[in-house]
Amino acid sequence: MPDVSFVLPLVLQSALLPFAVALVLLVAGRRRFGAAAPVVAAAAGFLASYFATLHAQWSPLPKVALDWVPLIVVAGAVAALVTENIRHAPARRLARLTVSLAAAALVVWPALQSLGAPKAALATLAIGVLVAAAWTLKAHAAARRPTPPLMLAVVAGGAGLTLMLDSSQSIGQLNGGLASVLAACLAFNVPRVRAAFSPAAAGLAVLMLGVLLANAHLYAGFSLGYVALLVAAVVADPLLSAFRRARPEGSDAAGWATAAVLTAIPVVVTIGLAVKAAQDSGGY
Amino acid sequence: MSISTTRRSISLALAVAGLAFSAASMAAAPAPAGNYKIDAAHSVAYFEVGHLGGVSRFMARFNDISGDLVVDAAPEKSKIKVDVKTDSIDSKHEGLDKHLKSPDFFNAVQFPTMTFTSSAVTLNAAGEGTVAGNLNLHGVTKPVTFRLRHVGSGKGMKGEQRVGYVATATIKRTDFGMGYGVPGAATDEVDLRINIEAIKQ
Repeated sequence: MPDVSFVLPLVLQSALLPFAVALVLLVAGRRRFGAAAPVVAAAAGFLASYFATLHAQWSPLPKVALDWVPLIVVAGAVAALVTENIRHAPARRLARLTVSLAAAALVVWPALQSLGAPKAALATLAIGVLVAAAWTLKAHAAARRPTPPLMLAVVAGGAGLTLMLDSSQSIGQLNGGLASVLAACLAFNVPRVRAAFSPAAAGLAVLMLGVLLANAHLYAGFSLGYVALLVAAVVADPLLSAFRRARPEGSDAAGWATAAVLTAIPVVVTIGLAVKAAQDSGGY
Repeated sequence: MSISTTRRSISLALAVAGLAFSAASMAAAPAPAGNYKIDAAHSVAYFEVGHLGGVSRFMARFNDISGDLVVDAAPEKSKIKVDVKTDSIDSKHEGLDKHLKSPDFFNAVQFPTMTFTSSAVTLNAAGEGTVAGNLNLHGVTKPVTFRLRHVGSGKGMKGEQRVGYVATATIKRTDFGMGYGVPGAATDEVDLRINIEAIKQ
C-alpha cells in the first residue's frame, strides 16, 4: 500500500482542493456570474490546484515555462468569454486561433534556445492550430450536449496518470487538477440546478489541457505518440457526433455512451503503454 | 631476530619511505602555470542527494563537461570556468534520467547548461584550498564556494602537460528554484563533486 504521507498531498492538491473550489464557485457564482460561472469556477479551481502544488516555485515574473500557466489561465478565461460572445463565426474562429497561438508562443518561448527558431516557430504553429481546432469542436459540442466536461475530464485524468508514471509529477498533478475541476463542472451540469458547461468553459478547458500537454512534450519528454492518442480521445466525441448527424439513429444516451467509450479507449491505451514502459524499465 | 628478517624489514621500510616520499612530492608539486582545457574523457561532475527525505544517498553524474583553467604560479590569480550539459545526466536508469531532466528538477530543455565561473582561488602548499565563484543552475546564479584539492600534475601519453583537481561543495537546490519534492522526494541539500583533469594548451 502506498505511503499515506506521499499520496495524501497528491489527493488534496490535485483532486479534493480543485474539485471543492470549482464546486463552491459554481454554487455561489451561478447567479452572480451567470453563463461565466463555469469559466470562473474552472479557472479558480485549477489555479488553486496549481498554487497548492507549485506555490514555492512560482515566480510572478515567469522564469520557467510552467510559471506562465497561471497567467495563461487567467488571460485565457477572459479571452474565452470574449471570444465565445463574438457573433460572426469566422471572426470567432479567428479569435480562437489567435488566443491559441499566443498561449502556444508563451509555452514554446522558454525552449527557444534549445529548439532553435525554426523548430520553435513550427511547434508554436502546430500547438496553436491543434488547440484552436479542438476548442472549436468542443465549444460546438458544449452548446449542444452535456458530454464535453466528462470527455475532457477523462482525457486530463488519463494524461495526469500517464505523466506521473512517465516523466513529470508536477505536470501530471496539474492535469489531475484540471480533471477534478471538470469533474466538478460535470457534477453541477445537471437539470434544475445546472450551470451549463458553456462553449467558453469548453474553450478554456481545451486551452489548459493543450498548454499542459505542450509543456509535457516540450520540457518533460512526454512522447508524441502519447500526445497523439490523447488528441484522438479529445476529438472522438465531436467526430462521433458529426457521424451521427449524418446518419441519425439510436438514442442520445446511447450516443453519449458510445462517445464515452471511444474517448476512454485511447486514454486507457496511453496509460497502459506508460505502465508497460515503467515496468520494462524496472520502475524507480 | 635473524639477519634475513632484519634485511626484509629494512627493505620494506625503505620501500614504504620511498612511496611516501614520492606521494608527498607529487602532492606538493605545483601545477605548471598556463592555460588548460578540461579533458572531457577524464572529467566528470557528480551530485549526491538524500532520497525520500534522507532514506539513502542517491548519486548521479553528468557525462558532458567542458571548460577552461588558467593556472598561475600565484593561486589567487588562477581561474576556472566549467560548463556542464544538464541533458547529459546519467543515473544508470533511463526512466529516472527522463524525470531528472523534466521541469520537476533540472528542466534540461530550458536550462541546457550549468556553469561555474570562479572569482577567487586559494591553494596552500599542501594543494588544498577553495574556489569561490558563481554557479548558474536552473537559470539562477548564486555565489558558491567549493573546497578545492590539487590532486596532481604530470605528463600524458603524448607528452602533454596534465593537471587534476577535485572540487566539492554543498548547495541547497531551493536556492536555485528547484523546489519540487523537497524534502519528500529528495533533500534540499545537494552535494556536488567535480573531478577535473585538464590539458595544457
